[in-house]
Amino acid sequence: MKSILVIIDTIENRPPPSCFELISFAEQFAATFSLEIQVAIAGGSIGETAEKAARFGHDVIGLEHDSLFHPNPEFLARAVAALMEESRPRYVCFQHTMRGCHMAASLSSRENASCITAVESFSVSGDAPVFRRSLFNGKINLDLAPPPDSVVLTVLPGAFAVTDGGSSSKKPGSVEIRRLSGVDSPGRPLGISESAEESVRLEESDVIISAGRGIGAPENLELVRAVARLFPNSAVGASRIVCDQKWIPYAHQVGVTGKTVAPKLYMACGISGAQQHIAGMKGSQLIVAVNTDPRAAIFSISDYIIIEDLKTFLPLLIQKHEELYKQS
Amino acid sequence: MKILVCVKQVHDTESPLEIDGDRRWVRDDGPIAFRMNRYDEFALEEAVLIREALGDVTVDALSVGPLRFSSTLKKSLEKGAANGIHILYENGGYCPPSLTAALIAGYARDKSYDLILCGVMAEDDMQCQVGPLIAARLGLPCAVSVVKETIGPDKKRITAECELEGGINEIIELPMPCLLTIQSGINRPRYPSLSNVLRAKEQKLVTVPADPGLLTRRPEQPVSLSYPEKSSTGMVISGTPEQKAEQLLAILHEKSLL
Repeated sequence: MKSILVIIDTIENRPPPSCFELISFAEQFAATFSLEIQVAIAGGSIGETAEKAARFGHDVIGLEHDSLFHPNPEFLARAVAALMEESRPRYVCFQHTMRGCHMAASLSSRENASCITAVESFSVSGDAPVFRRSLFNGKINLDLAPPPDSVVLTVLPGAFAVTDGGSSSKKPGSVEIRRLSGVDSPGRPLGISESAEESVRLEESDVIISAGRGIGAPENLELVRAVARLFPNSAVGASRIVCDQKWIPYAHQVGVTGKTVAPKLYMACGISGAQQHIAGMKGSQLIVAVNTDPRAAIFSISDYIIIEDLKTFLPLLIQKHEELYKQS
Repeated sequence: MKILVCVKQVHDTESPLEIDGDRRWVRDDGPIAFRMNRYDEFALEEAVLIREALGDVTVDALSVGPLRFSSTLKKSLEKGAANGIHILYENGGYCPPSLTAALIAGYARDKSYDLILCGVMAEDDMQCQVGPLIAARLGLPCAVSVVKETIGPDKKRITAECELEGGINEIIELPMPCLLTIQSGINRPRYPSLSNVLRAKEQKLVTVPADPGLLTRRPEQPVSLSYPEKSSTGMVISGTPEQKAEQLLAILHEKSLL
């Protein structure tokens, strides 16, 4: 029987957020195309994560090597290639993260396999899959058909929800830990650093008011801060581009490359809604978006939509708030 | 030292993006503006900064694509590249990253570059593949999503700080030659200087024909393009700006957020 091989990597033995979504993807995909599922987890010492993954009901192979304690895409791609020799999986899938994309490229080059990245969904054409990914940050969908041989995939975080989270309903799969040998890659990981500014506790805030490119100039951030001050336990977030402009430190960044948040209220001010941003905040309980562009992608996930210029709207919001709450 | 920077031309996302008639790609005629991929601008700036710091560095900019890409290579010269190399590939439509990487690796193989820089991804297809694929083809060590780099005093090693997801950075030391993909925010790309603009005007690009035979297997095939369905169930708050502000405050009050 043909199979799909799921590769989960770890950082300092910790699994990355939402990595078990890959198993959900594989389950849906395998059910459609009658495939077996294999799961491999890589790290320095990953018995615990492997046991957790096995609770989804699939057999898990742990790939351990001191060089995998830190991300080591080239080393892991070699180890996966060796694993592919054994079972000849038709599909190998990674998370669409920076490391996942690097591994997918190394592996597809090594195996002369095709690679389809950032998969959001799939459909069936004849008896073959067609993978959907997006172009231009979600403005256009592109459907790609793989050639009829082995295919490497990267799956977009947030595209497939984790099913029953390895609940007790399933019989756990077996866990086999393998200590890998082999020489390290020429690149040498020296360590991991977490973002320095720990005073920004985005994840713990009930309300996040976030600024995007639409704020236009760094001085307009003051308006966003002033709106945030209207709420108890609030914080100021930002999209990547605002941080890249150095208008606000990266510690405020919401998105895949920043913080993943799920506050009671997320108010997106002048944020167009790049996929990587949306993936980091779409779990918020209430989403309000303010943007001048009626076609902004952020509106597709918003509960309340306000088509206005921030420089007009935010001062009015502050003024009306004052009128309502200060007069009594 | 020789540095190669790979640059791509993309549709300006502020332009109206439309799918072409046979649903194979995004239209590139009509009121469309093109510009350099933003991530590649950071890569090019980083190369120019290295040259300014070390002296005796040649920065080549290279692009794979149709004739219109030459304007992006000219822009690279204006921003400080010494040479512009155009691998002319008139396909139109989806270009698999494996083919782009094969063409670039084919060109770079015997040019003894000490460092190859790419943007971390292209803004149009967002694959994050071309950089690591070039590295794999050339057997070079590779670090992706670099937000800081320091070349060692012996110019034999490079220390790269790589941005992973979730606010975590990894620091990696690589032997040179190597390839880095550059993340946005690593520097502030400069505007072209007048002298470089004048030089770029005069300077000819090196044009190389593309050999698609370098890709030895059949790549993935585009089936069709479509617009995302509008899935919004959100409520548009209408009225004057004052009314909108009042309505929003009422909603937030009702939900006990204020």
